[in-house]
Amino acid sequence: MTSRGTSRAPLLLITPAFAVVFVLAAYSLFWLIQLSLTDLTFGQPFDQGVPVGLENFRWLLFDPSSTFWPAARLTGIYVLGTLVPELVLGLGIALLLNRQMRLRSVYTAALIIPIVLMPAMVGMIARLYFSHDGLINFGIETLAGVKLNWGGRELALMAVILVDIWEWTPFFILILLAGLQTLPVEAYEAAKVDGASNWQAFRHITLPMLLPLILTALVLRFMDVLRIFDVIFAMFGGGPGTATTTLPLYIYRTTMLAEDVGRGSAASVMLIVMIVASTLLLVRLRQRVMFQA
Amino acid sequence: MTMFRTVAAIGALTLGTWTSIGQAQDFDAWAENVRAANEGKEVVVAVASHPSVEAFKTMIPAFEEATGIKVTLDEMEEGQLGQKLTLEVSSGTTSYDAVMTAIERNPKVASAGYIEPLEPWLNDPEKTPDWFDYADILPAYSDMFLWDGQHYAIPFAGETVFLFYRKDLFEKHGLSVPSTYDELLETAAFFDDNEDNVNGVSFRARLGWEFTYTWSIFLFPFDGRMVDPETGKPDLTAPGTAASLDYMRKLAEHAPVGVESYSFPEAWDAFMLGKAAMMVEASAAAPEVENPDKSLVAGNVGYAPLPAGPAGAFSGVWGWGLGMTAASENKDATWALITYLTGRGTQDDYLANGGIPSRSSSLGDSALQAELPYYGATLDTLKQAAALNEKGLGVVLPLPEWGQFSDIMGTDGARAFIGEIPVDEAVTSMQAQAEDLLGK
Repeated sequence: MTSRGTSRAPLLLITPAFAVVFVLAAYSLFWLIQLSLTDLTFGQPFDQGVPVGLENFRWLLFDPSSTFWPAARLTGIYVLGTLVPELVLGLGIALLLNRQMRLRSVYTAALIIPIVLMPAMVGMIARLYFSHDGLINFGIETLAGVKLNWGGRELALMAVILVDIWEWTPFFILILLAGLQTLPVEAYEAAKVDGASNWQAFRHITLPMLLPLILTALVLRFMDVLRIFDVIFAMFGGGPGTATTTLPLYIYRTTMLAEDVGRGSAASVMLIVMIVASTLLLVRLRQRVMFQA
Repeated sequence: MTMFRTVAAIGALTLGTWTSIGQAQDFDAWAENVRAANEGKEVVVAVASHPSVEAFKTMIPAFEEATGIKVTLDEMEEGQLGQKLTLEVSSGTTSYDAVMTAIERNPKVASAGYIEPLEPWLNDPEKTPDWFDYADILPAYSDMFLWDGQHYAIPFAGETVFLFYRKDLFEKHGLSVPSTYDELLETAAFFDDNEDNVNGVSFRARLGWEFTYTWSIFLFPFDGRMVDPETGKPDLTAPGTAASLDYMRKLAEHAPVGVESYSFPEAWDAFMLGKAAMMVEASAAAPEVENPDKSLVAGNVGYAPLPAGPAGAFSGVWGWGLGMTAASENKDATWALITYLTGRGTQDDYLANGGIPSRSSSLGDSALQAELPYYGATLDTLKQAAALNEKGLGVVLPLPEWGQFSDIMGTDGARAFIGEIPVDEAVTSMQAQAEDLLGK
């Protein structure tokens, strides 16, 4: 009786949370998949979609007019272009902040500011900063005597990547700094006794011990960055041309502006599959690393 | 204080505006009738942020006072309003009695039965007083809301596109206003080369509907086509379509850096800050351009109809109107509000509070024309828009699918504009997508 009671208790406890998640997520997902298999124009009643099987997926993947692949490629560039610098910078700054220094808590607190700002607001302000006569070009002109066309085809994606790096590097700093502060001092003392250099201590002690945390931060950010929308939307709306149309922008434009609910839903399904598949891979990798550690 | 202002407003209205056209008694009788049937009712209106809506806000208290009808405005950004209306059409429900609708959206909301044809009200002298004067609204504007032979909204803010130019700079260099698109290109290049920190021409070219908006201005003078006027089938591969895109690419070389990301506020700012000698933009920008608080070039600007291309000189018509939802339970009260806000009898109040005109009595008024130089240019440019309509063409296709069609043009057109894909490829791709949408 007692043992059965205890085994049922956790189940009962998670049921409400599970039910909420199920209703909100699973039901919407089911609805989304159903829409992705229909031909439906935004503005038509939702139950009037004409079933078309996998035609929307075929069009997105293979039709010459579709710009799904360029959008997927841009998303890939965006993910790498933001995550790698954010991780490297984040780790570097976390290492610096991990030393004994004055006002450390002030610096750390200030780092939260970009993260808590409303992304749409960040996008609107960045749109002004990156305009031709904006603050960024003022700085560059003062230092190098040239002005760059951030709103142009070549640099627009770079501009949104820079904003993302500014906004989200602190996320890595805060997580990695917390991790650094929990590392055992003994390991470093032993390494010092053995005559290890700072680099060797970092390479053989800090990095391996921090790796699970790095991967956790990467997984969290990765899921987030794949569906980034607000900042890009506010800065360039996906343009010029399609220079900043990453997949979330592509989905928005297809569904709300091209008014093609079927194709937009199909693209959403593919984005979800991509996010889930690559997150599972990263989680796997993290487990392997943890296991080896 | 508000009460005082309201009473004062009614007083001014009754004594000033109304006696001047001798219809004060008509207004009082009308208000009494409306009050008798509708007192205590509420009218909820969905509106976009717009100068004319600001004028409405100042007019509504007097309406409420005179009729006993309560008015609630639900104001949102233009794009949001469009998506909200589309969602309401999809779900078949509405929370509004009246909605602000635009030419681009009319076929969709009208064909879905979301808004009501207004002829039964317009033709009923009991409900539509003489001072409303529907015939005074420029036909170019009232026809924007025509669907299946009936009108679905009353226009209040009409818009066309014309050429803004810096009179001071043109005088300084002894230049005349370009009358052809070749001259426009040459003049733009001239300013690029001869004036420091001033580029030739500004316009909007951001990905999506804003690109389509500007392109539709350049399209027809080069004999480009969206659809064949005879068959209604997509005709984007007409040679002029590609030619007009090529021209825009050339013109962009003389526009401020970053024009490919310009939305209309950036395009207007560039001109108002003196960074462009000319601008091809909406007439709605003119009041801002002439506002010395916002514009460095106020008072130095001339307005002209658009130059001619190989196929002629054309412009287009856009604009906003008020429509009544079919599901409204207070239709008479809603109609009373629409007549009040858009009528000729209340027009002076509307214009004095910053409303954008759409009536011939205001745009054709010689005193107003002398005071506001863009009134004359607006009327001249509307003739260019009428010339386009006579050919069976228009800058907006009167189809429920216009949103999608416009996005096809605004996406591939913008890609070709910045050189992401060749112009030929863009045109072929657009034609394929348009055929997919409308049939071959």
